[in-house]
Amino acid sequence: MIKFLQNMEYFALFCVLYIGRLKSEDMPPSFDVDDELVAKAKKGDRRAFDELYNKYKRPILNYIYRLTGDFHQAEELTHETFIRVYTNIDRYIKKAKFSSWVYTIAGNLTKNFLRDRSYIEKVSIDKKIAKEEGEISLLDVIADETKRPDDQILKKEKERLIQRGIDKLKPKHKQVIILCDIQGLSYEDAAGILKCPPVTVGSRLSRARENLARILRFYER
Amino acid sequence: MNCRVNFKDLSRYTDGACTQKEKERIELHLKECQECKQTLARLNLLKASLSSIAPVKESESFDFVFNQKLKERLEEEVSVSLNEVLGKAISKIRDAFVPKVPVLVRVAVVLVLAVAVFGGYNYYIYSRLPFIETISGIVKVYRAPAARYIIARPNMRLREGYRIETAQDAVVNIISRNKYAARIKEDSDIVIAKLDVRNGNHFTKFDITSGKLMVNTTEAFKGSNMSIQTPACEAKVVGTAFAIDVDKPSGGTTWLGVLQGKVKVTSQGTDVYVNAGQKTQVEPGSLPDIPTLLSDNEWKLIQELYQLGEKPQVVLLVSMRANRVEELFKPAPLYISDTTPRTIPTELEAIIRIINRAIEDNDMGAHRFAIGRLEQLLKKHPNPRYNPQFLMFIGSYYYYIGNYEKAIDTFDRVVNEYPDYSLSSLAQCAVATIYQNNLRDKKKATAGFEELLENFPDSIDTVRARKFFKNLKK
Repeated sequence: MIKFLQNMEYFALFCVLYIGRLKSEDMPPSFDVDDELVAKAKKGDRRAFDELYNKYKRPILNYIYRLTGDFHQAEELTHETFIRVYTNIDRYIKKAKFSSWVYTIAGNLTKNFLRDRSYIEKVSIDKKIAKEEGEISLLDVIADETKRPDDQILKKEKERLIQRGIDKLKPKHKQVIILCDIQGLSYEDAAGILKCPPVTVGSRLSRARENLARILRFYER
Repeated sequence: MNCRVNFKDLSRYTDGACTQKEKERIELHLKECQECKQTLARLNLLKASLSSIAPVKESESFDFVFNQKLKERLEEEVSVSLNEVLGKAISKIRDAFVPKVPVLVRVAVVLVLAVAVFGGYNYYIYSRLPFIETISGIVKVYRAPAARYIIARPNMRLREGYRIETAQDAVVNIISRNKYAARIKEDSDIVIAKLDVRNGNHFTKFDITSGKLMVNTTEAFKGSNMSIQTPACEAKVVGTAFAIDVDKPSGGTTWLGVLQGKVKVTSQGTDVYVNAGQKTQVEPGSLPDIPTLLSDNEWKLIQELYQLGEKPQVVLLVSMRANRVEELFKPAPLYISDTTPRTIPTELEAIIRIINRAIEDNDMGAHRFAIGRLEQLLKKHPNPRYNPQFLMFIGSYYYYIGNYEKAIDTFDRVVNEYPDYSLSSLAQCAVATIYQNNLRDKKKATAGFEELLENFPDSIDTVRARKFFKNLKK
């Protein structure tokens, strides 16, 4: 009987998730106060946790994906992030935003993964990237994109080039570029995640943009 | 961009993070400067490209897999009581033995096992006691249970309660099973007040009445701790290399200098932390002095610690002074010890000696030859343990022969490839200093010092960076 009820609970959960799934926005959800949902989730309210999960799963997945460049691994790490959120939610103290806490867990897991797999490739910013035969520059792609804005292949090519450029940044610069320029977070929100002052976020972001522009040969025309 | 507006200003401007005054200054400048206008346009284009990247969507099974994983994780966390596990194990063993083996055989097996376990435990404890590695001169050990002095000898195990007295000109080296190495110098009187080993960690206390003690802990010391009690203070170490000198005639005035790590010194209820490159002095009944930097002579003396324990075969000799970047540019000597077994290729050793001679003879041809060979060999024999030291040496060597661009490239490699290396902050400082003084590139010097302050905020090299920014404001 207990097993049957447990199964029914999961079936009902799936129905709720499928029917009630919120459509994710292109930009990450606004950092509204999640206090009420967190308070309920702390008491064991699974629905409250699911709401938080649905709200942040895609931004977290994208954050990790942009850091690692590996979609499959990003999904695995996102799962692990939310498992840790669920099992440790009673330890969450409102010193910072709930979203910052989730992002911090995701960032730490990603950092450990990258360190273990030696994915980190530290490249001096002055190292010239050899131009492969047939490779086009990002500026050329953007120029073409303005002529053919609906061309999905060009869109994909642009994203591929940008991701390659991001992969070559130092981890600290990767994080600020992803959080601020791709995900649209403010200096303050990014500072809460990265555990540094907002002015440091601005400083790192400026260096990150400068380095990324140089990698993508933005100033060579 | 050689304007009063730099890239950082434009970056903050596009983010709306400037003050009103800054915004007006930038906008005024943009009206006149085509270069900055173009830079801003490209920056906006880059931002737009980044923000227009479509977010990836999770796979169809994402939620299902997450729920499965969460369920499994929660089930794993259900704890099984130790008693149940032990009970099951014991009953399995009993069931296996009871019907088959006669009682006498069982009793004999248990006795043998008990003796083996007891003997093994005693050996385990014995083998973890510190022992005397080498002795020079007369060293006496007083053993409390026997109430007599004996002359110390190599390989002698030391226990809690032993008192070690060294005569004039005597020195004794003590090793504690890959945890630490200690050297007790002449005219010393030290008691091993505590010696406890628990779960592989060592908890040691020395009482020093007079004399000099030097201690170098290894990486395996993590989890252990050591305290030193003198007539003036108590010093606690967790993982470090330091020297302590207790002066008996003055009633036990204690001098402590730290080579690596950090030591907590307590006296009269006040704690003072002495960091690497610093010293403190404590008089009996007084508070510890505020730590100050080691003098050049003290620094040279304390480097004797490199001879204790696991001797590094390659060490770049730079101090912990605020102007150590100048030492680096001399260039700083690379010390190669003659201990065995060798872990560095002999060809590298030979080339370092050629370079040292080329410096003495001022031979440019030999310099160029040696530096080329050195870089080739580093590529052929990469060794993460010694590469950063060699790279620092190569960087300072390029500076010495006037090739500033290569010097910067090499120091940059240290910062990027070995960010956790203890001298990475010095490498970053060297980059910024070369831009400032030799290449006269104020913008890159500024960027270099900013990175130093951001990435290595606690390093001694930030003193130079702060001085640079202070002069910039004048």
